[in-house]
Amino acid sequence: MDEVLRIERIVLLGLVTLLGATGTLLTALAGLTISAAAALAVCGVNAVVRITAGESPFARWSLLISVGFIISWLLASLAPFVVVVPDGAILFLQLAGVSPIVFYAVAQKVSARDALIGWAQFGVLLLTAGVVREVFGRGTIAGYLAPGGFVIPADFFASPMGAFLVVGAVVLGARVAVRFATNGGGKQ
Amino acid sequence: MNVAMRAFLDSILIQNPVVMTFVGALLAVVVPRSARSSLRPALRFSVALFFAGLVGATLTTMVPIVAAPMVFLAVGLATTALLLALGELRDTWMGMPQAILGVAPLIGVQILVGTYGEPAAMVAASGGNAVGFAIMFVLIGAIRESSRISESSDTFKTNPVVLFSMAVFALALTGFLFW
Repeated sequence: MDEVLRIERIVLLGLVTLLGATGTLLTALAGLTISAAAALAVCGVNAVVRITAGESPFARWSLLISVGFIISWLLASLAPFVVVVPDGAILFLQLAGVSPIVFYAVAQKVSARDALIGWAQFGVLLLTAGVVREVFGRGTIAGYLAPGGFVIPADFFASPMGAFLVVGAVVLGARVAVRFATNGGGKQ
Repeated sequence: MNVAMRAFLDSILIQNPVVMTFVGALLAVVVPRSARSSLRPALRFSVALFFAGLVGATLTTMVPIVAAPMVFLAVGLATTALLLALGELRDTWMGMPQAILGVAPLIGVQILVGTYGEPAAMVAASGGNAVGFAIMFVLIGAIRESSRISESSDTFKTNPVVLFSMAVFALALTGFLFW
């Protein structure tokens, strides 16, 4: 069950970004870049703060949150100049820096290896959700028509309902896959 | 329908902070364990969201636009500290303080309320976000509780049920349109 718990944990840690910044592939890419930049900055500041004696937990976490938010706010304001980002997605790029996934590497009892695996899974989830929602919601991939033009766009995939369906399907799919792998699909 | 009433209803329904604009989604998925136990936290979170939204959005109209993120951050952290003082979000969650869950909704609601611009609409939108969050918070607590005690396989319990239920709520709220 460890793997399913890990995927579910990653989904919850990055839930707001997974829901809000996956309307298109390019938005998901922007969300991943901003989250990763904020996480790197948070790790750097945490390494400095950790050696400061007498730091209270609230002050330390407030500082880390401030760093994450400022980085994501700055990068989110630059993102529309680099890629096409829908207006509604800017909010989630701005908030990506305060998503718990950004602070995963500095959390207690999380090793560097766990953090790297978690980030790799988060990246794959974010980009996959972006592709699925854009292909089925708009019929395009990164703004270009899907090959063959066979996809019939169903706009609900690009809506909030589609976001929850995709994320819910990931969590349920991980649980079902692990259940089949561990006991061949037998009833628990 | 006047602007304030529309802002209020929009913020409860088609811009609900949990299932439509997502800013409070994580807090609502993680914290409530049952309907009854979620009533008091829902009240506290909604009051905090109301004042954070109102104060943050009002202050940003008085400062240069480059200072707006600092205002959002300061109000968000101050309100989180207030929630901690009231006894909410004091546990740890996945190795980090649970209070971190409150930051995104508190900042997000300020940004959303700030888009309305005029004072009456900002008050109404703050109230709408607070009410909309509280309703969804209690409903999700009830769904989590009923899924946990159901006789279905453990595979389907809690998080998958909660997320698919939120999809249904999102679908239902999409149907509301005011003009």
